[in-house]
Amino acid sequence: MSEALARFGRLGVALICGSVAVWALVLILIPHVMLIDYAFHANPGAIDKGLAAPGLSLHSFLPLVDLNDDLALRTFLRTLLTSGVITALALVVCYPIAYYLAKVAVAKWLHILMLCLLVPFWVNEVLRAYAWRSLMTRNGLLNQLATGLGLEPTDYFNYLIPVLGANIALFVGLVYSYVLFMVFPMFNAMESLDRNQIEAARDLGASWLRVHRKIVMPHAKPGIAAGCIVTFMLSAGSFIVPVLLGGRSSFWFTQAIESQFSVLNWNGGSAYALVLELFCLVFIMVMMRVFRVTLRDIAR
Amino acid sequence: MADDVEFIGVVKRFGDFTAVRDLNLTIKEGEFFSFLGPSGCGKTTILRMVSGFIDPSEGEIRLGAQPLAGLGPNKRPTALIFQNLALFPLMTVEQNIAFGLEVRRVPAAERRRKVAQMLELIALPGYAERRIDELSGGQKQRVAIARALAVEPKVLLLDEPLSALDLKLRQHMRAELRAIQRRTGITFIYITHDQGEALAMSDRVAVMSQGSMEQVGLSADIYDFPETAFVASFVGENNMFAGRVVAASNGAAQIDTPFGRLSGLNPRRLAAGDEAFAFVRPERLRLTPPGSQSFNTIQSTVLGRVFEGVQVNVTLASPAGRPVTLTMSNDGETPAIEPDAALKVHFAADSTRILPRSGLARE
Repeated sequence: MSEALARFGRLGVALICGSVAVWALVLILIPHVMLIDYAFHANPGAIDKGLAAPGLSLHSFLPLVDLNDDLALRTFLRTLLTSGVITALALVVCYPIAYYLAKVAVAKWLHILMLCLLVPFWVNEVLRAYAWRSLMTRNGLLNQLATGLGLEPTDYFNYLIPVLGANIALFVGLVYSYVLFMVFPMFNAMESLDRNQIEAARDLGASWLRVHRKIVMPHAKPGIAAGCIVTFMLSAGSFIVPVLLGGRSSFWFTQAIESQFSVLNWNGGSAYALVLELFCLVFIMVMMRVFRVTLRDIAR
Repeated sequence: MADDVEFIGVVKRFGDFTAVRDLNLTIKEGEFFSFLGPSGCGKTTILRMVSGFIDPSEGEIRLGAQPLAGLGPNKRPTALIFQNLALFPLMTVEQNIAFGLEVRRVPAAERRRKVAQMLELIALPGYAERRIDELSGGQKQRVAIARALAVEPKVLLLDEPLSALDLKLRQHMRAELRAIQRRTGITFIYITHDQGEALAMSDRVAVMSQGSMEQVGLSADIYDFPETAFVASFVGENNMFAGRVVAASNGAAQIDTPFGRLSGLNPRRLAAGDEAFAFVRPERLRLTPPGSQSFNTIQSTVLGRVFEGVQVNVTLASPAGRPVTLTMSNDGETPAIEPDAALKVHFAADSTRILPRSGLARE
């Protein structure tokens, strides 16, 4: 504290602390208080119709446990399951990329490769989703390529992946959206691994698979955990990508939340949002337990 | 005989740079062999070629008459001890030592027995469960040795593993390494820029300079009978006198230097007129004429006197710039020598080596 005082002066410290306080208050605390307040009250429409009592109530959560009309529940579960699969897929795709960038790529080429990864993300998420859309439409580039090679065109929007019920386009779009969030935490973690560790394991007879399993992965664990957590949460909380790339039957839970707000049921929307947020918190804690990492490891 | 390491015309280039030039050498099974040279002389490249991390550009490396080409580092019967040891920090001592055994699918019970045996060998019994960051520098050193020896390599490669230790520990570890090598009978190939280390531990030493082997021989021979100006100037302290050979005969020669004419041995058969250097060790310089038949005498003034405990070094002015050093052992009879005094020093012709003028080791 005294160090900060010496460096920024009394006014500077006051400004810094003040802006953090404003940020925490206005952007975190107040919205959450309001969210919880809305969620635990029934919407005025239902109260007017006599379906719910005024005052504190769990009425807004009811659609999520209504087994007769389980659309909301199924949407919720499918969103989480699909996000889990997308996270796993992103991990599989990004691990080799991160390893290559961190330990194999020549320094001279590294920044160019990084740029190649980054450039697509300078474009707005909406535009990227539209780009995928145009690539994967019935007459899009991918299908033109396929027919050019003599293959059947694929209906990326209506072909549903078994069990998950999400279409291929949504999968591709979501995995792609979070590549960076998966690559960079792993890259950071792997970069600090001494290359001699890898060589020592090789020298002692380890196959590449074992080198990764025993040396690289344990070292990169905090990065892997951070990447998975961020990817899962962004995927589960994604809105624009499912809207633009989801097919008729891949309805995302964020769309369910939005539809509550759009019919002016703020209480229902708040309840759904709260459930999603709580589940994401649980997911983070489970991941931290499974990977045996602390918040400090992840924030690194 | 069976598991000799042979280098046959080995060359390694990195782009335009030649790191190792035409290396031909046989390291015998069970030998403690050192490559000694300044950084950038190609010694680490040699080690990495033997362990399989890089391939020779030309030539072949064989182990027990079998070419090693095509075998990855994980398939070679060699083990490497890294300069920074590269112990696995997330594993215990036991897991580190057992790593190579696990890879080889050695059953758990056998692994435990082997780890215990290794811990015994490195005198760290009871350390199995320790974490790596709980060990001292010397203990880490020993664990690295145990980890490498556990896989029973035919050749142990050591890349300056003692350089991070302090002097006392380094000297202790030298003796320990030598003892472990004797006990296991494994071929040790040791890389160092520290001549004391190389001379103290090795059966034979190869002195390297700029990718080429300058001289191979027994430790004592490398010190007492250097064959090139580089070896004479790199290994140990040496006084050097530049000049031209004026007479040469029968393994002996005379050379004209700024100190006058000096006689010495002529192992490289220089002829009159050749540019040459005469070398003589500081400890071979005497204040009284030696009894031998032929000796050299130079006259100079004292520049300074440095007391080093076991010995006293006296530096003398030289007309050619680089001062001459005389080393006397601190045996209680060391005469008091004051700066600016005129002094005559003598050294036997047999202690003087006259070698072709070529590249010297950089100071």
